Amino acid sequence: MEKNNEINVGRWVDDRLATLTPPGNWHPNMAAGIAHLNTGRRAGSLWRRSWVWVPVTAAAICICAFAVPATSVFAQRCFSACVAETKVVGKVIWNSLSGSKRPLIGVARMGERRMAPDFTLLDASGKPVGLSDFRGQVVLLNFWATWCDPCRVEIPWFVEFQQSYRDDGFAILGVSLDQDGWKSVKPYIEKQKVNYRVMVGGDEIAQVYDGLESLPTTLLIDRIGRIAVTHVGLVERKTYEEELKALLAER
Amino acid sequence: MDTPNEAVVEVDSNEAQFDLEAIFETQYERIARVIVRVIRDPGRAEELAVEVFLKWSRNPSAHGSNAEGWLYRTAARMALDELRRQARRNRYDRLLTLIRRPLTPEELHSAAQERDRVRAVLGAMRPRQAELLLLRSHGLSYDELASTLDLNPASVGTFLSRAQQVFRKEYVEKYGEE
Repeated sequence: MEKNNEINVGRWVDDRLATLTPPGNWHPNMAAGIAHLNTGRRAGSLWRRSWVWVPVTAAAICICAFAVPATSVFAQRCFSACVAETKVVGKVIWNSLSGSKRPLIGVARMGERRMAPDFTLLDASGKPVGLSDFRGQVVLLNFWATWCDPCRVEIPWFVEFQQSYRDDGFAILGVSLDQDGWKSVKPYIEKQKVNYRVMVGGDEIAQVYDGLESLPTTLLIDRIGRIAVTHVGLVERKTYEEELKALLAER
Repeated sequence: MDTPNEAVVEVDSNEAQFDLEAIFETQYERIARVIVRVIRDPGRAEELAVEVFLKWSRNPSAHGSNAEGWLYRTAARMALDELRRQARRNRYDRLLTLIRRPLTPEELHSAAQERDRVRAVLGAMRPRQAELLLLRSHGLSYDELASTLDLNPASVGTFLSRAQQVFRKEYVEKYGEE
């Protein structure tokens, strides 16, 4: 029964579709078709060719502009302006994508921060220095060693930070993990004119701070004593500055 | 250094041109017929048929043994696309004429013609089903349909009867029984 019905529907549809016939005795005009085809081909290839020429011409103009002395300065300025603009736009897009709640990528939100473990170590003059002594200040806690090249890159920056932000409630603590202690650290900090507190630590402090598997490891600690940023390895100077400014602005 | 490459390109394009013209001469009428059944205006149908061949010439992956199938499928697709475009335009025009003046009895009569009804139903169906029905009514066998529309030969029958059901349902909904 169903099969019958299907056949009927098929025939019914075929009948309907059979009404779609070309107008009586109709034949397409072959000559006109070929002419149209050839125009289309030419137009198509011309179109393709013209699109190829756009980037080629643009590249040629750029090369000429850079090569000719009269325009090269202008071209370089344009180029650097473009690069700068792209960076700014990229940053704006990135910031809007990553959400305004988190203005800096590295800084943890208030609720996500954990307390920095307290410690007391002796400084070069033998005076005890405790982390809790700096409560109320933003602390940059830097674990380093004299044999670590990237650490030595950062130390001059820290000297400058200490100078510029000291009055804003900011302190830097350097903890050296050198095996031979003050013997190599003392001459180094004297030579570098390190203006912040430097201590020498060992395995105990490394354990308290999650092992400190690579140096430098730098923590930014907020005014309440919570770890806001952890950087393992060398980080750009600009990043540190942005982050510590953000922390200094917190109340 | 450049000369041999250019020569190769030249030969290639000549060959393509030769291919295109050969296939055009043998297939143009058939392809144009597929389109003219769907499109009311024969002039427009011829334009579209030429467009099918131009598309084919720009698409090297279609140059294999199944070129004919590719042409049929593209023709059916382009014709149905044009049908849908026309339907949209008509709706818009009708909206304008409704504002201006009512339809004359002649217009109503011509709009009610069987051919236009079938076209309207095809235009309202899913493109794949409409292509299947159109090419089937054009006389393609199940095997040809399978290779033209990339279907499994074993399921052409099922697809076809489903498309027919959909056509009938759509037709009856629009215009009533018979």
